[in-house]
Amino acid sequence: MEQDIDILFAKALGGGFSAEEQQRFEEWLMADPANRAAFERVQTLWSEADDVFGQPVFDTDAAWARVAAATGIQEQPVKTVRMGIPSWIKVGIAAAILAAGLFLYRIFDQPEDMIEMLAVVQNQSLVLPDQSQITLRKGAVIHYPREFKANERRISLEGEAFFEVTGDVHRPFVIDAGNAIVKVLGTSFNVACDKNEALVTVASGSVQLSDARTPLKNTVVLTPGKQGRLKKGVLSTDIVSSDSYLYWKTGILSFREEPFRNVIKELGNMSQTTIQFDPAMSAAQKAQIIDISFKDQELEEMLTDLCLITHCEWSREGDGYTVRAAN
Amino acid sequence: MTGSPKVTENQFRTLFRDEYGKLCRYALTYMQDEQLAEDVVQDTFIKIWEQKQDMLGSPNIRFYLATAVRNNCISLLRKQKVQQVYYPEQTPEPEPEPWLSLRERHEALNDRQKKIIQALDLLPPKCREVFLLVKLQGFSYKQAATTLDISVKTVENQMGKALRIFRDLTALFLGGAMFKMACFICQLCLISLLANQSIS
Repeated sequence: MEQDIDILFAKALGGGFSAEEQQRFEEWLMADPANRAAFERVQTLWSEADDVFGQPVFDTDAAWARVAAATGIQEQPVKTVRMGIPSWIKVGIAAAILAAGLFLYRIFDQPEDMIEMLAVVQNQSLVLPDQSQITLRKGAVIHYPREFKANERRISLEGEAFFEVTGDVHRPFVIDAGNAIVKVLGTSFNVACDKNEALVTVASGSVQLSDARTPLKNTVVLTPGKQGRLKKGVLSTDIVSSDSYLYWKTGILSFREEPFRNVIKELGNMSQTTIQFDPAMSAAQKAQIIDISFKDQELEEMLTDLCLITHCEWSREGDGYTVRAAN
Repeated sequence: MTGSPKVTENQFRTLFRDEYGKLCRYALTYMQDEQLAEDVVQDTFIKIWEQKQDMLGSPNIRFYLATAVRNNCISLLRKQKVQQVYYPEQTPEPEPEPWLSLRERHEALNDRQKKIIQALDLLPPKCREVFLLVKLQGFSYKQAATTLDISVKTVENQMGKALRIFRDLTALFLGGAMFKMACFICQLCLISLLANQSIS
């Protein structure tokens, strides 16, 4: 009978009574005032539980904007707050800031409380509202809200930046990086992205990298020393052997017992310059083991140092360089 | 069944506005991560728009949606497990079963509500699934039975078990004595132990 009553309670609250059960339940309620009191207490608790299930609240508008974009449904234009400053004044102010400083802080044309940061002339460090630290590479732009939402810290990035994200298990840190979404809870890592490609290298903690169009299907989790790449919708991972991916930030490039050909390849990648070996170079010479560190040196200086220890010489060929055996 | 494109768009929009939050809260019981829960729900909506537009006007659409969200959560969790994808700072390895414990941290809840959550998480997984479909999604017993592929009779029994928790909790809140609390917890462990055995 006890179990039976529980089932009747459930139906009284959640629906599904048959006529016979309804009758039986009403008889049970009438039988003893204590029965009714017991049911009323459960009823109160049952509605109290609604608040439990009403949590947390999700941002339906933001979600709709994303789904509407993905399905190609036209949405009524969203209101944006604009400051009534004529564009020639904006240009003037921007030019003045540019001329005076090295860094442009722009809040015009941003919807409500979004802040745009742009590293114009040199790398630029900044601290986000959650105390996370970001170093923007020259030319990079980020957008972030003046205040982060309660359930996530979302920013967007164009270009390259190094992140040291403060830990907050309950508020993931999410970066919209071109076609990729990068998500972390608290770690340090480097992101380089443009329209075609996103490259994420992890220094500590773990980072989730997803394709923005198919975040469920295409996702990888990267751990320290791993590098993830999203290019043309394809996700791949690689292992990084040195900290040279941070050269743009630290100015330090170090190679520990690396073959000469790897060092040259790395220098080429990092400076985005073509550096090739002369076809006449012997395999043995390209395989020489190198142990070297550079700090704040120009590419040509580094090439000179390398050639000195490998008995080579370099020359400029168009936009790139060629390395050949020294006479 | 399908109306003009504009009508279909409006149906889709209304459905999204009405159901999104609820479905996310449901997905959250599986995913334990708000962003992932949102991703699953958004992806499900997109798929419905792309493949099942003719269902938008159907009275069963809400039921269909919740079932699709549940299945997508479970297959994603299974896939993650296979790929050995892990989130070190987060939960232990996720099991495809719903949990409410994540909600405990929400400060908006009072002690009584926190107790409700703790008690519900002690229920056997199948029982919790049934309860969530009926209470959170507003499913009928028949719909819950179809979704979980069990009999209506089993749904009834599981709901009875969930209600037993509520009844015990009211007794607990009424008395509030420490020894009652201890009895209650013992009882819960016993219930879940017995229920687990009877299911497997």
